[in-house]
Amino acid sequence: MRAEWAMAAKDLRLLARDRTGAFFVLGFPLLIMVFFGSVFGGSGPGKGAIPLAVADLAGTPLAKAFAGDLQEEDSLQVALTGDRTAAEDLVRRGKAVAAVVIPADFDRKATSLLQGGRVEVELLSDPARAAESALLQGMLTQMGFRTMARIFDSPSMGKQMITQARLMIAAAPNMKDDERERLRALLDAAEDTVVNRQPGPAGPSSTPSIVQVRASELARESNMPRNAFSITFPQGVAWGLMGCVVAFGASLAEERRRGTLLRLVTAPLTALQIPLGKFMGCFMASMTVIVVLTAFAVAALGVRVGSLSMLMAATIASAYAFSGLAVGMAGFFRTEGGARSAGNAVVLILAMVGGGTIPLAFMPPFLRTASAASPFSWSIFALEGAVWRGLGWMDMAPSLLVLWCLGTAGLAVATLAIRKGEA
Amino acid sequence: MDHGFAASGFRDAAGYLAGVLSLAGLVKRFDGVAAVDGLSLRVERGQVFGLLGPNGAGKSTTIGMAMGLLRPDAGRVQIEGHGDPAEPTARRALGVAPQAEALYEDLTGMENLRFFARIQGVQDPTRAAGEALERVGLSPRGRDRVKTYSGGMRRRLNLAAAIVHRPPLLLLDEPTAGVDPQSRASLLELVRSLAQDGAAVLYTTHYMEEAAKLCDRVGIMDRGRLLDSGTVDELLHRHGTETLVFVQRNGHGEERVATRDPMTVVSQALQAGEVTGLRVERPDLETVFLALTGRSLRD
Ligand SMILES: Nc1ncnc2c1ncn2[C@@H]1O[C@H](COP(=O)(O)OP(=O)(O)OP(=O)(O)O)[C@@H](O)[C@H]1O
Ligand SMILES: [Mg+2]
Repeated sequence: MRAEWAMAAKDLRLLARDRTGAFFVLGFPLLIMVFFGSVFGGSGPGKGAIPLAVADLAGTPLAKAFAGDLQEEDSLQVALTGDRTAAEDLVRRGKAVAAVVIPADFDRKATSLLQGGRVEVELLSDPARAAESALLQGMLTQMGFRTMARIFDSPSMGKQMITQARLMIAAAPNMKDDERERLRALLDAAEDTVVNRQPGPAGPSSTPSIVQVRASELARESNMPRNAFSITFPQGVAWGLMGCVVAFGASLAEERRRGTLLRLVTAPLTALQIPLGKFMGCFMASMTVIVVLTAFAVAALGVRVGSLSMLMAATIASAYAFSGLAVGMAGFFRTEGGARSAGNAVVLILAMVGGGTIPLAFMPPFLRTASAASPFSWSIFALEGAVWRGLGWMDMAPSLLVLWCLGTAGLAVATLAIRKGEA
Repeated sequence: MDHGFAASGFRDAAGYLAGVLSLAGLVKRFDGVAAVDGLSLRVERGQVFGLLGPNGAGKSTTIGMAMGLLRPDAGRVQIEGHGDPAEPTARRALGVAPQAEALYEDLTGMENLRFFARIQGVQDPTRAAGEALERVGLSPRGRDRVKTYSGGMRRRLNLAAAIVHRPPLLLLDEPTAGVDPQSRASLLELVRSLAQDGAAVLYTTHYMEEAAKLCDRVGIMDRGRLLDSGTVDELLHRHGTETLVFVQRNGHGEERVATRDPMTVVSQALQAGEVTGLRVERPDLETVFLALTGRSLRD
């Protein structure tokens, strides 16, 4: 271990003396964190579950189903109560982004839909979380369609499917109007042939949604800017990790260019020790970055850490993953400068896709899905989970596992590359 | 200085005690062209073996194979009896000063040496680094970053990095290139003293005076082949018996005559008249090289 520590210490010293490298590892991430945090002084969430309080004042079948739909939604983390004040409390204490209040007369209003009735669902949201509450509004409206589908549920499978198809057409946000019309006509024809025609207001053209969302604001009691910086803090960390990956990913090629790699491979070291030394250097740099950024976020930006032990787990897993990525890259792009900058471009894209530039909530759906391929998003999710998402260990486990696998894979690639390419 | 070498006790097939380094029938081709072509040599303890050859002769390629960095296409490298120079025990015995300095520019001289000592597993890296620095005369600049060093200082640090862990075998590839005469003299002295301490040194150069002064044995290398090797006296005896006489005549270029009887050549030249310049050169390694290759070693 002595030789590896020596290599790690040497690389850290070199990084600290390289002003550009040090800037991208620490200075730039701090800028990102502070700058974007103040610019978007209260904007959207990061990846994944939005904490939501739901007060079901009805407790009737359709209301329960509606609440159940919300609970099943992956992007929501629902705290269900039967009590309005309890739900509001959660928002005030910052434990939830918003509260949804399902009225006591939900079922009655919903089933009087044929008479033109509407269910009014209240959405009380933290004004600092405008983007998330916009997202929630859209989501609640969509849930309304599901309630409607339940109402019009018929024993005839064919009809059910057609009804659902209609609902989907009606709900599809990006569909052009003429397209929508054409599909509806098609469904009408299908319904005519497959099912007995059942006239009535079930026709989708007359039903936008039975659920009407009445949005209002509910300010959180503590007025710390914690929300905005809670978003940009993990982003800053992502950039810091990227700085480490780029610096250490290039360092092996740099040693080759300078000739110092020759001294490493002629020293009595094994094929694993050289990448391991680099790995440990990158690990310590990444840990330093995360610790410094977290300390800064907590001390200067008022970000509150939900769980210290989870933060440590997320930090170690992230540092491990990105060190593996760095040495894997170093092994993969061994010599040519061109391949090396290609590697850096890949890392840059991963950082951006993974939520380094645009918080995931603002991304179009396909990008949100793509972000799962980026280790940055896993790391951001784990860090957010520890800082403000209030996740449990079970929620954290997948991210931690993915990060661990990534780090190990990178180390393996690096070892193979050194063993093969010593000469 | 005591290197504390353990006797390897290794004997080769013929029952001879092997040298610290022995190269046998090494061949290395690049794109089908042989850079080293069937080279064999042996360096013993306390001996400086000089590999003398012009640019592109294959000196660095030979060193590269000796340190296990290049895989020979044929032949064998043995370090202290170990068949594979990539083996950790073989590597521990190895100190290298590559032709292009291999140093960290942003570290100080001291930090460089301490790092190299650490990866070599030296017990007290700071002391070893300080001693190596002292030996190459860089102690006063030890706390400065390498990027502030002159070319000669880098060369000396490059050599210090080779000896910081006191290896029994030193592979020095043109360690004096680009060094002023004064520094060069002290570097040669240092290499000499390392050999006296018991190190085996393989030393490449294209300065024949340097080879003649420093090396116990010299190998003449050209186009990948070791043409001959031996002590300087042996080489002179075998190939340098002819003295060179350079005669310049009015309106003609310089005429060169190699002869065992320079007096006759000179008197004949003078009798022929019109002589404007006359120069006689005693046999030296240059003469040996000329005799072996038909070419001059000097550019
Ligand atoms: N990696 C390589 N790829 C292709 N050709 C090479 C490579 N290394 C060396 N050569 C060729 O092998 C020959 C010997 O090169 P080498 O560097 O061993 O010479 P040298 O004696 O050290 O010369 P110098 O005094 O200039 O350092 C040269 O023709 C060189 O072009
Ligand atoms: Mg050379």
